[in-house]
Amino acid sequence: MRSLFSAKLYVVCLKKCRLTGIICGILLIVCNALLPLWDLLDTLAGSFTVTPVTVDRSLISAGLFLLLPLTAIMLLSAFFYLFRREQSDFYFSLPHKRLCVFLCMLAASFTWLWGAMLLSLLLDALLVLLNPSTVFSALPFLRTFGFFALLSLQIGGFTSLAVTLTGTLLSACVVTLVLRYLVPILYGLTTLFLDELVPMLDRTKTWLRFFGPTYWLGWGAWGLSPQEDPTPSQHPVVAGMAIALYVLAAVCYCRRRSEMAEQSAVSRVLQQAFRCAFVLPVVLFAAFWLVVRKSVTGCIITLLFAAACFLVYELATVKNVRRALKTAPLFVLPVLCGALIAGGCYLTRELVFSHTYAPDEIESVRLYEVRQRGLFSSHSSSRVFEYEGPPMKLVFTGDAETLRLTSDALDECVRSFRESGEYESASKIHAVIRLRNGHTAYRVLLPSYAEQIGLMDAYEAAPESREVFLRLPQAEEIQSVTVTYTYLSYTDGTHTASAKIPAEDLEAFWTCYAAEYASADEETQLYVKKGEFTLQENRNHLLTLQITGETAQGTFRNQYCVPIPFKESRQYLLRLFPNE
Amino acid sequence: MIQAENVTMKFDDFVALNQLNCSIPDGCVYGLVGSNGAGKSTFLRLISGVYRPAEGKIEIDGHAVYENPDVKKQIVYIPDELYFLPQASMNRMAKLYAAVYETFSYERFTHLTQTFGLNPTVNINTVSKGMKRQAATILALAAQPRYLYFDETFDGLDPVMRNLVKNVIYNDVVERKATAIISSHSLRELEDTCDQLALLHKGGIIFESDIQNLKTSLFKVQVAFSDTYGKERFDGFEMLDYTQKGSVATFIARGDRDAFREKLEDMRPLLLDILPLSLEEVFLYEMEALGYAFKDVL
Repeated sequence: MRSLFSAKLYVVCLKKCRLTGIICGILLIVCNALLPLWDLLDTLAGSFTVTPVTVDRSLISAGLFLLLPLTAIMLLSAFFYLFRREQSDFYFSLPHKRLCVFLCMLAASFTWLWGAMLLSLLLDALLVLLNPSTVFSALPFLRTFGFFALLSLQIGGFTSLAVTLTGTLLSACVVTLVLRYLVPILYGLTTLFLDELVPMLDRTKTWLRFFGPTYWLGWGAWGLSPQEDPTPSQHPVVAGMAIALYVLAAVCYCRRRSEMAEQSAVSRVLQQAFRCAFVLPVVLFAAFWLVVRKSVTGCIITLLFAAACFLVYELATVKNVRRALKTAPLFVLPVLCGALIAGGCYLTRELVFSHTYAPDEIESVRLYEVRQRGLFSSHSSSRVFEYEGPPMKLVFTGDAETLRLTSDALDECVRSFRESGEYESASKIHAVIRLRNGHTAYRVLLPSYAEQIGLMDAYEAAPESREVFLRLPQAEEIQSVTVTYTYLSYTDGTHTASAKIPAEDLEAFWTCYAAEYASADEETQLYVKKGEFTLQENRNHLLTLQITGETAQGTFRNQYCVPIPFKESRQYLLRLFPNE
Repeated sequence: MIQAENVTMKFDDFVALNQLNCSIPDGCVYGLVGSNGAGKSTFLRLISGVYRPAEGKIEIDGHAVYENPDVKKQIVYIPDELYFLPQASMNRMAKLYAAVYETFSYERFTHLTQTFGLNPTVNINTVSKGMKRQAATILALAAQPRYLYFDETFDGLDPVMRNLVKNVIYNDVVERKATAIISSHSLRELEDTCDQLALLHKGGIIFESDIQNLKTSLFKVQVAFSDTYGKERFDGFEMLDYTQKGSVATFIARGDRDAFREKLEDMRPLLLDILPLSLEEVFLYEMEALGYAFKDVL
């Protein structure tokens, strides 16, 4: 262990990074203090009284996004010696193992960065404490620190790998961007291709999804806000990816030849790879013009731009016109890659178009709509479920009408797209189609409004759907139940009171409620699960339950009614909350 | 002892060192001479653990140098292109050296700083090239390593400072039995400092010898006889070069000087002078004997 880390060397590295660390720290602290300071001054200056609310994470973390580029800058600065011969020789001549130098430099960099982040959050905490409109809570601060520490760790991984693979600052910056953004950009462009060429394909079920935001956590903070940070189960994945990057960077650092300083890459092969990766997104865009938009002009212009980028990058890195021109023919490589991707998408389109399914080929089908939320999406079972109901087990129906309408919708989509290249649709409905031959197809139906109504009516009326829809959550799946009592007073108007059912009474109440629900007729059950209720329907006394819970499929939130016929349940609640 | 066996170093297609074999004993001042691009700096970087050889091995006292902190802490390397921390003074650099070299002595550092007359609080990056070299030398000597490598260190130093640095290095070697390796492209610079010299050319050591031996093993003889004679009169003498103008013959001889004198005196010459050669002349004749034109080598 001694050979892996040296406290003295760590202190040397801390001092080496001091100037950059202080600058980054000042920027971070000042930028992140602006919003809470603004809020504080606004509150103090305002003449209105405010109800204090628990501090929101967006208040204390808006400026911390600066940490991400600062992490890259800090590491580029710390490892700048790899880009200069005399500095590289000096650090490699020190009597420490290379891995030790690498780890000490990393540790020093992150000490400055996370130290600045800690100071920033402490300052924000002070501002929050002074602010009469906010209530201090430690949890948002801890979560914010953890979130940004994780993201900066990941960015640092990309940067440290880039500096070990390159020998100049310019190429290190470019490679950092390539490592960080190439996959998301290629993913975005490929999905653009697929969305335009074959909108009927459910790409969230293809292998492509592993490079999307849900899985490829190299996206980091792309599209995320602190409210939407990765779920706790994704944190280990992000951390694991970061550790893998550092391990790779450490290996490259230890194997790096000192004489690579001032060369754009540690090998010619890597130099060519970086060059190709740099222009690949532009080439892909050129292919988009040609394949999707059928614009030869657009394609040519974009290709020329890509070629110019290719040449400029080479000129800037090798600093020799003759050598740069000699490598010009290698531009064919990214063009080939782009052609492969575009060609693959085109082939996929033909495959999807040629495979529409007759009703007798389909065994069962499941339909759902997808709600977009940032770049993360959640499924809802169907349009009937206004609230986020309990995530349904996969409700497949073999109802003949549903299968027929599904097949017709798919045929119509393909026909319309083949004829005009367009489609008219009110919405997108995802369909999981189980075929009689044992295969499963994932499609997106693009029905017109009338088709959508017909299809979803048939699906929801199918016995399997109805059965699941009418099912209540199990008691063990429920985490909390809040009762809301609303009544209309002709003198005072509408009154509302809420109370949470105590945990010790939850099971007993739910057993009673579920029993009354089970004995009710289907019409009453449908009413109970409707989710929206009026006072008039309930003779001006409305009892509703807001239920949250978790199943194997995920969390849910429902709203049910306690109608007048549910006498025992209503009595139970009256006993629990006599005053309300 | 520093041992290099069949060391080859390549930079892409360029072979900087080719199957180099070298053995440097402890406690000496070893000079590396060669023209630009001969491989001097490359060799120094190899034996200081900065580079890893493509082939062969480099060991100090039987232990590999590359990625070996226990060996590297006995080595301080002063390259031709110096590096100091940004905005660093000598004091700050001394702290860095003290952190990485356990044998660093602040006392020696202070003494040397005063000897050289440098201000340890000034930003080193703003001073002249010569003063930077002095600063680097002071830091290296204050670290008190067993092995000191100087890569063209005397460039940029004025003659007074050059002598001072040479003396300090020499005293350091004598007092602490350290080993100093000094590279230069000038023989004259190394002549009065080094114990041993090696000549590098195109990635290999083509000549290596103890300086004292070098200086005494070759000498110039001027002799004249009254009668007519030719080169055959000196058969049996080991000669590298022979010229005759009239009755005066001049030749470069190798061997024992006194024995030569005795033999020649027995031949009753009219004139006999045995003159020492400068190091440059020694190298000139030795190279020619090996088949190299001296001007092509240095």
